[in-house]
Amino acid sequence: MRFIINLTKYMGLLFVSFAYGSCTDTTEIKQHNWVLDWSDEFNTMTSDSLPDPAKWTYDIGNGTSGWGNSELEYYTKRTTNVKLDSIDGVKCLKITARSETYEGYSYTSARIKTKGLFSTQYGRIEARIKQPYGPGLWPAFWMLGSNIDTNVWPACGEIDIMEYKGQQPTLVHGTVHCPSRSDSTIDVYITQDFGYANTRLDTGYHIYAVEWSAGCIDFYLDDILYREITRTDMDTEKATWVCDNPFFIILNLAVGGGYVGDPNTNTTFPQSLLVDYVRVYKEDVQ
Amino acid sequence: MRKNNLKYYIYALFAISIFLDVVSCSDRDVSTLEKATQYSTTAEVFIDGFSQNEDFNAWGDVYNLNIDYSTFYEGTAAIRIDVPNSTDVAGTWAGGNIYTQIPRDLSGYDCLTFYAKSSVAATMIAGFGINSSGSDYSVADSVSLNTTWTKFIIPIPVASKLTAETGMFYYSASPVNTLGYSIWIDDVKFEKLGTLAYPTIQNTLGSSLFLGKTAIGDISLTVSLPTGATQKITASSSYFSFTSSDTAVATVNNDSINVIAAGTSYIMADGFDGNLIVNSNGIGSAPNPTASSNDVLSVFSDSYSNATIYDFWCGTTSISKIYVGSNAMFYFISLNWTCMVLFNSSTSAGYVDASGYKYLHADIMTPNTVTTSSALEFDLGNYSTGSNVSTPIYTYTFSSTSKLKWIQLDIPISSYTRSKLGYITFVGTNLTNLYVDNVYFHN
Repeated sequence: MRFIINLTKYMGLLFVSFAYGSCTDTTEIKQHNWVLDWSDEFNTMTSDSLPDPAKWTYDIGNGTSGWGNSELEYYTKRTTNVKLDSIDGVKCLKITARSETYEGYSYTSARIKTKGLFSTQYGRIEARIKQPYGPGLWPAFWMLGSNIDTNVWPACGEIDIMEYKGQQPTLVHGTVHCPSRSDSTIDVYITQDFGYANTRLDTGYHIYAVEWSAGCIDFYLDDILYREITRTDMDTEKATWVCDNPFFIILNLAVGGGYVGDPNTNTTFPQSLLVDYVRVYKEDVQ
Repeated sequence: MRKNNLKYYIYALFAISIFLDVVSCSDRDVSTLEKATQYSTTAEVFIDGFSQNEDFNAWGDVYNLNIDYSTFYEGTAAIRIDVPNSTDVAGTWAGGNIYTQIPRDLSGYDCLTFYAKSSVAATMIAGFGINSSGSDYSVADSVSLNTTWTKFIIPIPVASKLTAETGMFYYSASPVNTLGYSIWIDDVKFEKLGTLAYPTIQNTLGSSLFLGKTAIGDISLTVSLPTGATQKITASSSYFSFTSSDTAVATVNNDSINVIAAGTSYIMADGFDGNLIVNSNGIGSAPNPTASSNDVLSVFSDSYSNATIYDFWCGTTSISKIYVGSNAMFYFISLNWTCMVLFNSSTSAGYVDASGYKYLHADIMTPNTVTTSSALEFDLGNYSTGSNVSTPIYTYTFSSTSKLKWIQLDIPISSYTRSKLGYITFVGTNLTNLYVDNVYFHN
């Protein structure tokens, strides 16, 4: 395989291979011609300050046992938890987790999704995000297979473009979930964490992206490709690759749960996830 | 190795390093060298030994610091501090300051880090910025030690202030349950982590301040660490550039707040979240006395020289001294009764002869809501044939408008024996807290 060199991406791969040793020398840096297919810049204020209802709908409540993760929050559609805002000159979506008693739960937050409104199969899906901070905070920018209502999770597949733990403000986590080949109710996941040595992700905006093509998903933090997860990787884990279907997008800020642990005295509420934009590009087919 | 030998070994180490410096310079014509305009940016304070040009001042037990070649975090050596027992004749605590003879430019770093552990769980104060040249950029951290090596991070509040710093690292530790123990410290160095965030000032001012100047004192702040933990430190107010949100209520400079009027103002520092909160009721300190000092025998006043108050006896009252600028006053908290004791109960020195004076003056003020059922009784304790005899001389009854007003009392005392006064007693009825100032006898 030819090794195509793009300077910044080469440096990124080099960094990752020193730090984690998980990428092979023969990983090809692909060239793309991206064309913008769908976006929400969060620049246009709406009459109720909620995000564009043509693009986003809501998950409400605590789901089943904290959305399956023992999360502590009750998701709402109130502007105290989700709204368009302008902060430090950036027009953004602001999702806020609050410590308050509501509907029997101790925290509130929000989870919005493009389910039923927009989905994509392949492409570059990116968001520019400023993280919250503090133990027990779990923001995510992720995707689920659009066939989830008939192919119950994990059979629908899940791509986590960005997950982050508030007590580790220097790390992003990228993950792909697929169903086990022997039992499609069993989740098999491959995950990679990555971060900068001397920059936190909550003190400024960073770009979180995947470049997704048939049988292959590349994970990016800013300009750095930090992991590629492929059909072959899932085959090795005896899982069925289900990421050749349309997926919809989700943005949320969870509180507590098995992945991140619960908030403690080092967590100050309210905490906000700020999203400058979400953009979906397709390959230019000429 | 015995402790004494180690101490001399450390001094020998410094002597040798100085000697080496001299030897290396003597071959050059120093007159052609340019004078140094920048200080060294060396980050290391102690790795496997002290860095060049460092010296050490011991506090408390002067033998407390040693170099340990068998227990260390990494490399070949660590500092070992031997905290003494509380009965140790050499000193009852261990402390010291590592400082440089030539200042360093630390402005490129954002924290001091080190590894430490102890033989028993203990708390040590550690920090940097104590130097002998007068300017005070000290930072203190309360470090919780246990038997596992742990990395500690002490943030530098404003690194640009440390362009010429000599105070590299200081520590102090006391016995635990009267017993001594050991602390090991290794890899002490300044670092630029780039991952410290959200420096936030904590409000440490009392619930209300008097008109006039209140010293700011040390600033308490928190900093978010990349580990998700929040670090609390105390830093000299010299680091900060303060502004007052309402300059009609209070103005501020580097080291003091001047409260001008009733209201609330927030004192913020450039580059920091959080603030100090100034609340003022618009009340100042007691009016200055007008009596001529020839006619006065004073016990407690900034306007006169004073007889000695040797002690306070009290019921459940707690007593503190408040300064407004340089003006001091007493604050009796939860006043049931308290005595200003005017003699030394061990030596019987002291006592005040007030027989030449006709009045006892006192300025009092309560910050609490009071009614006519609230009262303050004054007693004089006069020594007579073997003991102090207490006599009530006056009771002041408050009213519903007394709150936050200075009340000036001149109590007639001519009918009381007062040639050898041992104490003045303040007895409160339905009173909570009371400020007292300008207690003196006069004509």
